[in-house]
Amino acid sequence: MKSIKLIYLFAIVFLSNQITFAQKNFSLYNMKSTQQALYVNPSFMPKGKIFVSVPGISMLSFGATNSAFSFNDLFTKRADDSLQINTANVISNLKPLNFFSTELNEEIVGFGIKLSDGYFSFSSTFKMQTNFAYPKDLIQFAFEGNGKSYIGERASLDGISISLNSYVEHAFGYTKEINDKLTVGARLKLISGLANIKTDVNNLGIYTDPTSYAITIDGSAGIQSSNVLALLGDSTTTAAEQKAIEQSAKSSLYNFANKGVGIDLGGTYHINEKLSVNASIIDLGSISWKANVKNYKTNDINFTFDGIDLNEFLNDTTQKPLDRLSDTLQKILNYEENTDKYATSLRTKIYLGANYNLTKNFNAGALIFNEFIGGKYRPGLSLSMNATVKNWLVATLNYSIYNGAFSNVGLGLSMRGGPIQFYIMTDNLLSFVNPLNTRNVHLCGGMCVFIKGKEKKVKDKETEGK
Amino acid sequence: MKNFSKLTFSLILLVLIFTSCKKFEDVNKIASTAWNPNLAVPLAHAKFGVYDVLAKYDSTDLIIVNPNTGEIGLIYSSEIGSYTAEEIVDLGEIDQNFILNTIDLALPSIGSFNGTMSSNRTETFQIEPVGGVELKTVSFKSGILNVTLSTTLKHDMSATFTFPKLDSLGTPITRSILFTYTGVSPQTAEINIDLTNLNGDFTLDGTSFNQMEVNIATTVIGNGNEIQGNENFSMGLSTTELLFNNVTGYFGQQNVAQVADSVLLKVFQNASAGTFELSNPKIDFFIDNTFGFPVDIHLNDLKSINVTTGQETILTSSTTTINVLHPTAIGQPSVETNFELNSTNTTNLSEVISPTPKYFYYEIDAVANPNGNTGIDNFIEDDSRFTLRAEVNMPLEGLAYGFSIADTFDFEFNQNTDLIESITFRLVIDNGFPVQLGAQVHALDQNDNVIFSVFGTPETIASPAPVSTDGTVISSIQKITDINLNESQINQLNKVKKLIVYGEAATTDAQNGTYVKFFDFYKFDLKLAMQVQGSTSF
Repeated sequence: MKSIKLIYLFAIVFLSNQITFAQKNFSLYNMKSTQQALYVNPSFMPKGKIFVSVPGISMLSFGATNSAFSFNDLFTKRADDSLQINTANVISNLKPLNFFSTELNEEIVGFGIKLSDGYFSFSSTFKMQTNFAYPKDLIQFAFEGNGKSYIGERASLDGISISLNSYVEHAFGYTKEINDKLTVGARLKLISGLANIKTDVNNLGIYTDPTSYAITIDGSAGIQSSNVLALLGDSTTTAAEQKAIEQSAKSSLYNFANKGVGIDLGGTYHINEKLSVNASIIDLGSISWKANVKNYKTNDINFTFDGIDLNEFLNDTTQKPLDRLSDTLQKILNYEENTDKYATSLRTKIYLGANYNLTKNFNAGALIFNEFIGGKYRPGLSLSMNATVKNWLVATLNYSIYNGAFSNVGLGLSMRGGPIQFYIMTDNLLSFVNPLNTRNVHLCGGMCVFIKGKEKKVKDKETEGK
Repeated sequence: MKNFSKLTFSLILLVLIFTSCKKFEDVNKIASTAWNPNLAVPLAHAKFGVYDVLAKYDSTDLIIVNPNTGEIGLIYSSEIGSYTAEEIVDLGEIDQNFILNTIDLALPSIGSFNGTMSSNRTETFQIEPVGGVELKTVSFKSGILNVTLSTTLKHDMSATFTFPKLDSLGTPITRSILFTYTGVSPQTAEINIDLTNLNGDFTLDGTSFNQMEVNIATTVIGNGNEIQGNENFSMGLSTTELLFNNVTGYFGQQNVAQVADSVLLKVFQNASAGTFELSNPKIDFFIDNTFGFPVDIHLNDLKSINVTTGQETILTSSTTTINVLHPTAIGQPSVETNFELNSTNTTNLSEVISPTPKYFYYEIDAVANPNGNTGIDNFIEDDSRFTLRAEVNMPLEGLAYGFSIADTFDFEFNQNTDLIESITFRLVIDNGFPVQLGAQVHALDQNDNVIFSVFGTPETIASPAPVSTDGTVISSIQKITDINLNESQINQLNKVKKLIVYGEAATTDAQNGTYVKFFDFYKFDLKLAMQVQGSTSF
């Protein structure tokens, strides 16, 4: 029972309430006073003159999202207060294709400096993203077997996929005020890929004939990897070769063996004193994976198992039926292996926002979020109220809709004490208040050294005084 | 105040975080959850043709297919006998002695003979074949003719003997011998004549048989010794290992074959009851003959014997004699005679074959020259054969019902069934045969008590394919049979030690007299699957 609970815990952590996130960063987008807001729109001009990150703690953000169900969707409370998996509820909550995504960003080092008419910044950030796409039929099939809903129906596992992407990004940014109304910015990123694994082809179906129960498996599968599967070695890999592979994989942290480039672009336009619009496109680019690549691809499969062939069984006693089946499956599931380089695109996001100053310290914002993961479009919408409460305290409160969840209330706070700026924010505050009932979790926080220049300070005061 | 505000916000944040951690306590309340998967899996499949089905009964050329129509039948074949030339004609031997006295040799009785006297005589000798065979000509394949010569004359002497009708490529066989007197009497000599490839004519120029002449010419050359008058010259003929390439003559009315045997009709071996009617059964006799003489086969006793009951059913036929064809000249190939007993020349053949015969019994003999010596020479060659084969030919046309079989199988099941709530075996049969199959399975414990039966009553598991008016199947028909084993039956599987499988068959619409035909393109498609309702928790 203990082990089962551990499995449940694992499920909870990774499927419903993990404190990581697939970052939309609605709150960060509205925290324009922080240096890190540059990371979601390079046109956001930081308030300070100099910014220096505190290595390791300047920005740590993590989160997860499960598009299908929360912990409470998974369980039902019984009369004795115990919890039981509610399979019907889980299945009813599933869409044809569901996602579980995580994203982790940790700034290693960063700094920024205000120049005469612009702002130069640099940051090195470790990023890791995972995505697991699981069809409804996968879960339903596991719960029910093939003998109920799937008699005569194809259990579609089409679209099932996994991906893991980890890399270190070195970004050089420049933000420039073109005029009083327009500010633009860009961040050019040089990327050193650490590890990647992703499914290449992901069609799979299981059909059970309603009459004979013959099981037909169709589809094809492929997987590409760099610094992952090669590390596992195989029966022909010697110890020396294995060591070389491991050393090579470690070197990928800095040697750009898996080279990538990316760019963030942003712009802010003040239509009038009250209204401004902004937009950005983040992580437009790709990584070419070359180090320790190991790819597998199966043939197109269309195999029907209709039981032991009695004719063969009766006429050939030299081979056992299961051996014969095994031989057949090996032939059918024959796969090709190669070490061809491949490329993955970055997880590109597009923000389209607008802010309206209600008072001098209080504005309302609207933000549309667009993301493409594995060819799937995943949009989001956020409405925010943003306030400069005190000189040392900036806050944002937002309501967002994404991943099919309508109960995301975000909160962000930025506090400054002297040169130290501390910030913390989330896109879903309720995930901490009621974690068992949430599908999206997001937490971002950090601490950095923030020096306001004199001139800037005056300007800021003027701005705040408006 | 500023510091207080900062502290307040920090505390709020910490409260939020710890509130969320408290909620995780709920995971301790997770209890076992029932998991009831239902799995449907195919177990086995097979597609049987006619041969696959019937070959299970016999693997020795049981099934025949009409190459023109594809119609199939069952053939039970039995070789009645095969007879060789040597069994018909045994040359026997030659064993003959001739003694020529001084008169025959034209010699005077005299105290001292110094002259020269010649004589010439022809003698006839017999060959004595076995069994009253009258030989006219023989082409010898092998053999030795041993000629022994002896004289008591005390003079030199030459003797030449010739067989005018024993030749090699037309040249008569002749041999000579010279006796030179050296003071020893009698003087003897021996000559062996190899008969291989020699031809002998034993007819004395067409006037007789089994006889041949030898011409003996002698010359006595006197040396001054006396001739008392009681001296002689003798000649002996004997043979060893006589074999022929061919012979002609008249071989008599001997029994070429006499046999009683039976054919086991295995297809009915496991049948226990039922009505089985073939519309067109046949019994064929095939005779391959290279003997150069007429033979009649007499069908003395034809009947079927039910192995179980011993009941005999005699076949009544209007024809009891088969005139066997034969080659008319030496060197001609084998001549086949096919005689068929069918519904036109029998009155009860269908009854003899039906319903459940096990053996078809026959008693026959074959007699050579049934009309005696007609003056036409018989002949036979060393490799001549007379083979006789019988086939019970049952074209699968007819009807059957109430035809049942039963078999018992050992059964052992030692698996844990706790996780199984129910099992449904599904049998899907696409039947292209005009046969309906019913089945029942009884599960027995170690004391042969029935624990449970799969069906309440025997259930049809294969529907009969519909047929056209001529009995040919129009299309196959599918029947799905679900065999449910409930939890109680599953729990008793460990006690089951035997299964009795009972099957019954009937052809399409047999009760109404519909005849069906079987063709080689009929198929029987069987699929066996299983659906398991599991029940567990995790």
